[in-house]
Amino acid sequence: MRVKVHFYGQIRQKAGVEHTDIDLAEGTVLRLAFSALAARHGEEFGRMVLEPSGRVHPNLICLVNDVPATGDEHVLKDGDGVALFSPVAGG
Amino acid sequence: MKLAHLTDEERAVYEWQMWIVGFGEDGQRRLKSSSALVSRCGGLGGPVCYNLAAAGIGRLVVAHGGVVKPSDLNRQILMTHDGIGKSRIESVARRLRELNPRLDVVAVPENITEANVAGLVGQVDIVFDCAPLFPERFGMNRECVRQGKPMVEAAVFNLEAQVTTILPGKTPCLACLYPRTPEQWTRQFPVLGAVSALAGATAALEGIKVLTGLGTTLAGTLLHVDTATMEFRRIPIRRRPDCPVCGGLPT
Ligand SMILES: [Zn+2]
Repeated sequence: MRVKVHFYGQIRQKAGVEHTDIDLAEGTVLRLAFSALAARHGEEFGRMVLEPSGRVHPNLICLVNDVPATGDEHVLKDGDGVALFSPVAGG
Repeated sequence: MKLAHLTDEERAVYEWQMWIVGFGEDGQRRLKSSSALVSRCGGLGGPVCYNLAAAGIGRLVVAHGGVVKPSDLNRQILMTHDGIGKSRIESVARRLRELNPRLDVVAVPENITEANVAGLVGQVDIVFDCAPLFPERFGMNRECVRQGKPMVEAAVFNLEAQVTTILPGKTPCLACLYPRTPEQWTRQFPVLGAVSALAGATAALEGIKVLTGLGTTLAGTLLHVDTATMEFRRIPIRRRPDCPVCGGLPT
């Protein structure tokens, strides 16, 4: 299945792209989708999406099809649109 | 709260906004009777201050350290070119008094610290968080929760702006939104003045709504604007029962 991911805030800089498509196994959960993204977009990106424990980073705001996704085990579906927002403090 | 009366001059200046249904003379008197702390008064805090001053808030406590630098002038619209090398907060206070000589401005020539935050938050009815660094933001959040003061949280990055209104005990606080200190955030960030001004004007409007009861606020909602595409998103946000800052407050 294929999922589209949009990046907002500083995480877009770390990702190096505004959005990306990622192919995942059917029934992949958010936490594992993020580790697949981290493998592709590097270590600094990885530290923004996952905690050292492997859990989804609690600072990350994650929408799936414009609805907040709560929980590491949220199951993704083919065609889902994910939006990720990292913390912002600019003035 | 005993509301201040309006003078003839104030009736003339604020006539057009008192025509707004739900605001009226009562809203104007509430605003005149209110005070706010704006920490820092740069790209974001400048438009917050200017819009609150124009609308007729009674008292503004403005906090910002340092002197004006050339790189401030793309967005810090209360600073001026001839102020380069001179005190930022003096420029802010002067510009606000030029716009509204009735306004009581308290100019604090320093940024928010652990040492001054309790005293500054204690002087006002509402706080506007416009700081560029997370330790300042978290410090104000803790103090606002402790004193039960509303805090309008506004931030910009690149072409994005976001605003939410924190009502301690009722909405998530900043530590609910960001439970960990964002370790990769840096002092310098890409920013365009018009984006800061959008966030600042939105934050000022939120404050006016909280103070006067006008409309519906962004309590419990993070407004995110991507000005590259002009997508406006309302993101529902939730309190964390285990929040070390506000988790102890009754819901
Ligand atoms: Zn909290």
